[in-house]
Amino acid sequence: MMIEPHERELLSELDGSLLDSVQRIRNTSPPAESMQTTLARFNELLSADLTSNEIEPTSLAKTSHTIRFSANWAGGLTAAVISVVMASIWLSSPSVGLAQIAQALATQDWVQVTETADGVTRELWYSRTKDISASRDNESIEFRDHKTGVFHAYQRHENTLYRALEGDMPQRHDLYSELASSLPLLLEGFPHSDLLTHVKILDGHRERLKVIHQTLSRVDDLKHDLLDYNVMVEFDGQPAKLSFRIESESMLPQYCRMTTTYDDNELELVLQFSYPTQGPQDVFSLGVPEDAIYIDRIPPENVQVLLASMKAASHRFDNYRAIMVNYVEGDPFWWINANVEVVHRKENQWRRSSIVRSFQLEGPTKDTDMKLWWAQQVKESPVPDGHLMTIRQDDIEWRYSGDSKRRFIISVPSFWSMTPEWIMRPPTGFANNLHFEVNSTESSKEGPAGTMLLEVTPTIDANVAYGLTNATFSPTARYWIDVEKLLVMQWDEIDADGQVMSSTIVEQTAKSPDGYWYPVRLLRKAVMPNGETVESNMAIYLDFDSELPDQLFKPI
Amino acid sequence: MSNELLRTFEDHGHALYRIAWRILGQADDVDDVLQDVLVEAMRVGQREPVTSWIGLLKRLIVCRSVDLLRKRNTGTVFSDAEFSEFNHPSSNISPEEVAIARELDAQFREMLSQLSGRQAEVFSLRYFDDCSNQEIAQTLGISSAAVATALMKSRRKLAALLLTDPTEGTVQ
Repeated sequence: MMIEPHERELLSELDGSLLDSVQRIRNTSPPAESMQTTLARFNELLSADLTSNEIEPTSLAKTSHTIRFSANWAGGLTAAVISVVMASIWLSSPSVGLAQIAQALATQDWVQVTETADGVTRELWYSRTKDISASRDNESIEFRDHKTGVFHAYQRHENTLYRALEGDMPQRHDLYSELASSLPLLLEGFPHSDLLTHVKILDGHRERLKVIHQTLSRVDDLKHDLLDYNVMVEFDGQPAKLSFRIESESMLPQYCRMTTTYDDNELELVLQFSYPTQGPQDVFSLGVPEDAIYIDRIPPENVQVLLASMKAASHRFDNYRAIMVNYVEGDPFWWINANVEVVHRKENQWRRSSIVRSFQLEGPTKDTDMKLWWAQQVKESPVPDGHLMTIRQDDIEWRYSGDSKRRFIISVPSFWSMTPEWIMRPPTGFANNLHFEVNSTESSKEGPAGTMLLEVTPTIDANVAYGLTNATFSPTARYWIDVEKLLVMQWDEIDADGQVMSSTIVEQTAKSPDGYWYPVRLLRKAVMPNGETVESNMAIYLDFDSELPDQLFKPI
Repeated sequence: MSNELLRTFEDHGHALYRIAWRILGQADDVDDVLQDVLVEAMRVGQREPVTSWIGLLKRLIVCRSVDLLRKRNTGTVFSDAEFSEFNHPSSNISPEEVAIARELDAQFREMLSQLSGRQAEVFSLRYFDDCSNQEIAQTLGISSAAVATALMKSRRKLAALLLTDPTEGTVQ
C-alpha cells in the first residue's frame, strides 16, 4: 500500500508492535454505508435546526442541565412513549427461539421496577400469573388484586388504609412487565425497517411516533453478558431516547433510562428491573403500620350486584339509531331551538353526530308522530349524516372538533349522557376512589315509588381531594333505581348544604327488542345560582331496524 | 451558530467519523459519540463564542470516544453488525488472520483506554487524525511542549503494554 510522505514521517515515530497496531487500525476503513447513513442523518438534523430539541447524550450521570419534574407526569409521558413503542414491538413477528423466551417471560412470576424521577423513587410490582399490582413510595402504599377487583391503599399522611373497588379501569402496573417481555421480539427483528407499519393498535397514534434510530451492541464485562439497546424516537415531535441494558441469556432488561425534552425542559427517568420469584403477599407486607385506621369503601353485595347488572344492561343493549332531542317544552319555537344529535350503535361501536337543521317556521302539532317527524328532520338536514363528533370502538374514542382529531381510551363513552343505554345508568364515580361513601336504602320514601336509593357522598372537599379550585361537580349524588328495569328513574345532585342543585327525572320508559329498558322522555330541573329553577326536556327516539353499515363506525 | 456548525460538519464530517472509528472500531458507538458531540458542541456554542468549530469538534470527538472506550472496556467488545462490516484492505487475507487482527485491534483499544485522558487524546489526534504537534496544541489548548511530552509518554506506555504477556505476566 502506498504511504504518503507525511504518513511515513508520522509512522516513523513508532516501531514494533505499536507500529503494527496503529498501521492496522489506520488501514481499516469505516463501513461506507454506516458512515454515509450517519453523516447524512446528522447533516439533515443540523439542517432542520433541531438544536433546541436535541436528545440528552447517553450518560449515566445527570448533567447540570437536567431539570426536575413531576414523577407522575414523567410516568405518563414515559408510559405514552413506551407503550406506543412497546405496542409496535409486541406485535412484531418473532422467531421461534425468541418467541419461546418471550412466552417464558410472560409467565414470569414477578417483575419489580424501581422508578426514579425528579429525585422521587417509586417501587412497582406486577405479577402476570396472579394479576396483582403493588406500589410503594413516600406518599402511599397500594396493593391491587385485579382478579377480585378489590384494592387496598394506604395513605401515609392520613395513616389510613382504605379498601375499595377498582372499577372499569384497573390500574395495572404492567407497563414495565409488558416492556420486559416484549424486548426479545424486537431484538430478534433488529433493526426493524418498518417498525410501525401494520400495527392496528397504533391507529390514531402512528402519525405521532417516528422511530429515528436503533442500535444494538453486545457488552462483555467479564461478569455479565449484556446487550445495549438504544432506540431514538420522536413522539409528537419531541425527541426521546430509551437506553436499555439487557441480560443477553435471559433477555431480561436490567436497566432503562429515558431522556426527552418537554417545554424546553430536559427530563430523565431511570428504571431498575428485577425478577423475584415472590412478591408482596398483601398490603401489610409492604409496610402498612398496625395502628393504621381502616376504612372500607366497598358497598354491600346487593348494591354491587345491582350496579353490575345495570352496567351489563348498558353493554348488552341492542343495536340502534337514536335521535336525541334536547329542548325546552315552554319554548314557543322549541322545535327550532332544540339541540339534536344522532347516535348510532352497532355492538361495541358508536357514532355520534350533531344535526344542523334548516329553519322551519311550521312545527309539529299535537297529533304529529314525533318519531317520524324528527327522522324526516334529520333526513332533510343540510349536512348529510350531521357533523361527526365522536367515533368509538370498544374503549377507544376518536373525538372530532373542526379539523382536529384526538384519540382517547376511556371505559365508558364520554358522551354517555347522550345515549339511550347509558343516560340513566350513569357512572357513579365511586369506584377506584377512596373518598366517596356509598349508602343504600331499599324502598326509599323519597323519590319515585318502588325504587332503591343509592347515595354517593364525598368524604372530603372535592377541591382539596383533586387539587382544584371552584370544582363544579356535585358533592353528593342520589340515584333512585328501579331494580326491575335496572334503570335510574331519578337522579339528584345535592350541594354541600343539602340543597338540590339538579334533578333528572324519567317520565316515560320503553323496552328494547332484546328486553332492555331505556328512557323515552326525561325532565331536567336545574337550580341556578340566583335560586331560579330552569326546566328542560329530552326526548329519545330509537330505530332498532336501521341499517348500520360498518363504514359508519370507521374513524376518519 | 447552527449554520457554522452545519458547515463545519458538512466539510469535516468524514474526518470526524474516521477519528471516532479508529478509536472505537464500532459503527454504533461512533454513531452515539457523534450525537453526543454535536449536542455538546451546540451547548458550548450557546454559552460562548467558538473561534474554531473544527477544533472543538475534534477535541470533543476524541474525548468522548476515549470516554466510551473506557466505559465499555472490560474485555472483548464486539457487535454482530461489526462482523458483517469488517473491511480489510487486502482480499488475500485468510479468515484466521482476520480474526487475529480483529482481536489484536480490540486489545490495542483496551490498552488505549488505559492511558490518561490527555495521553489518549494526544495519541489519537496524532496517529488517527494526522495532526501535527502544533495543531494538537491548538486543539487541546495546551503548549507544544506538553503535546510532545504526552506523546512520548503515551508511546512508551502503549509499547510496554503491548510487550506484556498477559498469561505469564512478564515483559518479553
